[in-house]
Amino acid sequence: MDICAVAKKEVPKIYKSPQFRYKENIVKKHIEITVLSMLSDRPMSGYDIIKEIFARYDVLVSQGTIYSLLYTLKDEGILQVRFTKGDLREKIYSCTQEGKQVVDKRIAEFIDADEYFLNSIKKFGHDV
Amino acid sequence: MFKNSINGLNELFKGDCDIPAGSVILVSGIEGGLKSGMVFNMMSNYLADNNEHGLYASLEETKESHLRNMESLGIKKLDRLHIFDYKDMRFESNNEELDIDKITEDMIDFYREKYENLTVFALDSLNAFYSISTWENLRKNMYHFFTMLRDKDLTSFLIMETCSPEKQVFVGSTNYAEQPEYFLADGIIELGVIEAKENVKRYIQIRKMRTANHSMEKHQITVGKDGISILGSVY
Repeated sequence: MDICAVAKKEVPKIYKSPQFRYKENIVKKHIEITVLSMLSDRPMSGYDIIKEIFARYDVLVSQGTIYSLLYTLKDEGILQVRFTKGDLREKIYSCTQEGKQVVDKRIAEFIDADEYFLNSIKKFGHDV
Repeated sequence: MFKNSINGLNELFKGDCDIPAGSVILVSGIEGGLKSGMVFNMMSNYLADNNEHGLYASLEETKESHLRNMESLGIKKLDRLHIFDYKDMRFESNNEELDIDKITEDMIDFYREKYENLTVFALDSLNAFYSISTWENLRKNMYHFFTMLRDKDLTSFLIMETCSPEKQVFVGSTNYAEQPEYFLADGIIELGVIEAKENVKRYIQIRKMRTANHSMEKHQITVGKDGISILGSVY
């Protein structure tokens, strides 16, 4: 997949719908938890992460955001890097032992906050 | 205060004048003029004295190689000085055209959101930035890029390599009219080399600094175990 070509394509109508915009906002707002949950599942490169997010959510996240996030999480000791076999250029990111605990904690906190929010909406009589 | 970030830099400014916060400064000069070292040293020392964050975006070198070079110049890296290395995305995206100005803006936005007091930014280098960009109208796009940096209230240092006089004979003369960054920048700091009969001296000169009263003289630069220092006038 050519990420830049996808970004430059004319936006189909479905991507302009409020539902899509809402989904896009959620993914972009929670990009750290999204990436961490993906990396706790399997190690990936920055480019693979962008492709995976696009495949899962139809949302294209900027390389400027994803690589910045990976660099800061690595500096914080949450992620570690290894290189692809035989190629010292492609960096594959995975969670460190300490990082896995942080990821589990953050995902649990995120689910708690999400449930609290959804329940508060339900209280006002809306079906969720 | 940036003028206190390098030993002797204050001598180039008059009175209380300094590099104005939020301005876009072009740091230009020939290869080996210590452009990267000067900017990194200024940022590192400035951040050490202020509880702020900085972002150094490198298109020329990997983070590891850049840090090795800085260490060899006696320049320390602070935890609050973040380095963004474009190399990974350039390699992984293979032959795709990169929307480099959008990527750069998203990168800055990410760090600003993560660290509220991100105040200083550096791009190393504009030449590499141009070589990747798909801009058709350089002047117009540069204007938007400079405006974006000012709108984000960052003091920005844009490093640009220029040809040495002897190379210009082969490459073509420097035509400032084709280089919009010289007009758009709030300040221009030039770093270069002067070859005298018996020795070679590196120098720094403030060519332009809007709203600041400054010396136009070329001052000598030296490198010691604690980084870069600026001495008196070359002549």
